[in-house]
Amino acid sequence: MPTPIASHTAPRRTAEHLGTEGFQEHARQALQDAPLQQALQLLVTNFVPRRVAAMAALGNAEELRTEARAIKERTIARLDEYLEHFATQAQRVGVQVHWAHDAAEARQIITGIAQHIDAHVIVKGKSMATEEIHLNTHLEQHGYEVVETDLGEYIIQLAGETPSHIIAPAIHKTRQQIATLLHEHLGTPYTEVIPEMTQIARRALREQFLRADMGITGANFAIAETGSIVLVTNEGNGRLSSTMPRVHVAVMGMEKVIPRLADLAVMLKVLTNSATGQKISSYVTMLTGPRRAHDLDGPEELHVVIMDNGRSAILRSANREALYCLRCGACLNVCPIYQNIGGHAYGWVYPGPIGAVLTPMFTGLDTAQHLPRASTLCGACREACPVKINIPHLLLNLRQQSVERHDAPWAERVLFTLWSWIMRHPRLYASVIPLAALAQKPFVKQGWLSRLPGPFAGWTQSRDFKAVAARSFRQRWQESLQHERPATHSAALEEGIVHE
Amino acid sequence: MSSQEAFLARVRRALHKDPGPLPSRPPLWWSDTDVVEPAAQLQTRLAAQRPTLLAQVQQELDAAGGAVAHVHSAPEAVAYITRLAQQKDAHLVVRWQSELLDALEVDAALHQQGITVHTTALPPGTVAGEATSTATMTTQRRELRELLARADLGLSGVDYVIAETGTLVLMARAGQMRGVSLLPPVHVAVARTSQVIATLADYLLLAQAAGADPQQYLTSCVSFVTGPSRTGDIELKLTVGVHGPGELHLVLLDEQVE
Repeated sequence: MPTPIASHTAPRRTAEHLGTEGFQEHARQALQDAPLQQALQLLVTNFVPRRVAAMAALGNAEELRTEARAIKERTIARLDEYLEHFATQAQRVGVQVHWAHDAAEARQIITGIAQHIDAHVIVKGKSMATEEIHLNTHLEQHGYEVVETDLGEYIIQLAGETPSHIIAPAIHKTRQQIATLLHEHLGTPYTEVIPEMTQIARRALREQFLRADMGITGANFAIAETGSIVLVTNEGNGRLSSTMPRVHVAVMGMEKVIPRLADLAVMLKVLTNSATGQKISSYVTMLTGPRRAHDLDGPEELHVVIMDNGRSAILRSANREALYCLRCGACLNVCPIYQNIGGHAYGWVYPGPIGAVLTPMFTGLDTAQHLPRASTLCGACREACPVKINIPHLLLNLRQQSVERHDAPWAERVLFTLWSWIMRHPRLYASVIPLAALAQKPFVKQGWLSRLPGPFAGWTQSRDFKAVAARSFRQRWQESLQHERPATHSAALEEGIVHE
Repeated sequence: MSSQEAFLARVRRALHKDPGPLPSRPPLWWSDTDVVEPAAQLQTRLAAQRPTLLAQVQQELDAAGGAVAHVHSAPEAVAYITRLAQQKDAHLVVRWQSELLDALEVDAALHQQGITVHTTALPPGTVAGEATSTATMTTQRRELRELLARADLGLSGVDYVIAETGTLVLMARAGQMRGVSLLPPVHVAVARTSQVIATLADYLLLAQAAGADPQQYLTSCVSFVTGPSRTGDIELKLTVGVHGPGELHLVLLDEQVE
């Protein structure tokens, strides 16, 4: 086995299992990280309007989203059958299909292929599925030289970090930081001119493409009808990784399958318009088997690794529609939480609103129960989603599960049990509220509560509460009724308030 | 390693479906699978729309950072390619083996400028579809790969051009390598105007109508190319030519060339 090049073995900072405190600490740091805040601003001013304009220009975006969702619904409802059909068709054109129950199995399969073909250098196209199973670290531990070839992924590999955005993995890095990385790792002259930096990376990575024995990519779609896989890229890293090395391995989550070739037209359109606001990406590559007898290039072997890795549990749950996700990143860009804290604070591979759904489901609520709560439930993510995933609803499902598991501290649980009991008893409610109005007095400043004492301090740490009004709505309503008592008011009084 | 059966059984359980095949499963496809008739109708429709589609190709490929040259004769097409090769100071051009490129006689024009042209052909004596010794193919592949790695310009044909997005559809075949449109810094594609279609859905339909089996109607690699290779990975600033060609030219030829 060859010795890995030092520059590619910088320890990847793994933020996995941050826990609630870790998340809060990360979020706090992120808010004070000026370059990060600047980068996140770029997303808001760049990605968001581009997507909005592109969807509007389509003219029928709403119908397309409905259709894309319907395709996903129908596929996932019979996922076993479509997967089986995909495997049969893929095998007919010479694809070697592998099934991985979990991350360990997927890594074992891929390492097995690398050993079998005596690989030394492995180039990778951009793939979230391989991030999910921490493939690079594993392959490096087995002595392989692994090179990320998507420019953003390459940059963070040099930095020893993890992606902070699904489609713009190095968005958190400034050009100066990237210039320094390239200069230090490649020994090329320092330059902050982006086209020059891009050319430096092109030359370095082209060499790797020509050396590599094995290419690993993800797959954006797998077409059951034809056994094809589809790669969507802008740089060409997917094309090169699947063309130059002797062996190509595509790693995909099992939800990536779509039934028919014709479905690709709809799915691709909603994907690229949502991801980058492009009508189509620069390159879309549809691979149907390895190279054939008279093809002059292309890989000798094509392997497809189909991964469950927690997805069947999602399939079983009330949050099944999380499996419709195309990984376009649109929900990240519009999320007020992501816009402020960036991707790393989420602590796992998938950040943003969809990450807040997927992370607890993949890694367990034990370490990620804070994520479903890190949302204002404003619904911007649902509006942006190309397959209309109701993310706020999925987050509420997870919150409910978290409550049922008694994840909250006992004081909070007691308080909320008490509160819900009071709410269900109007007379009690009416008598308790004036007491609260009295008790809050020392802490009220101009109608707001901005610092509560003791066990309540956490509530006002990062937000203010409106103070309880001196006279309740109920009181004021009844007073106004005594003044002028028109018929409708009295009806309302009979119906709603007195008997409530 | 999980077996396919164990893997799919787990999925079935998660879906709360009965184990084993249902006696009368509904079909996997929920729409009509006849493609031949719709494809024929589509061709007629496209012929009528062609002038509009050509304008759309121009507009969309421009927007994606590519260049379109609409020419009306073979000499015009050749002049465009030769001029471009000179501008790029090209020494080596690698091209697809294709009827259209052969008919243009572009090689001779490039030779006159002192430019070497290499065609990505099968080894001499090989007939596509018939068996060739692995060793011969291996040698040919290695040689072509080395040539492509240092080529200054790649010249290809196309299967279709999609107007809606300005996309070239390139299907890899014997003599028509993937690398020609991928490795050199400049890619020039030549198409007849009759190859312009409206949408990606049109292509998928036309492809399927061309054969009964995916193995027939899809080749090992279909590349959809829209403009040069691009990235926004540094500060979201658009930059071209990161892995694939930094320049893409489409020569649209309006006349039948004999």
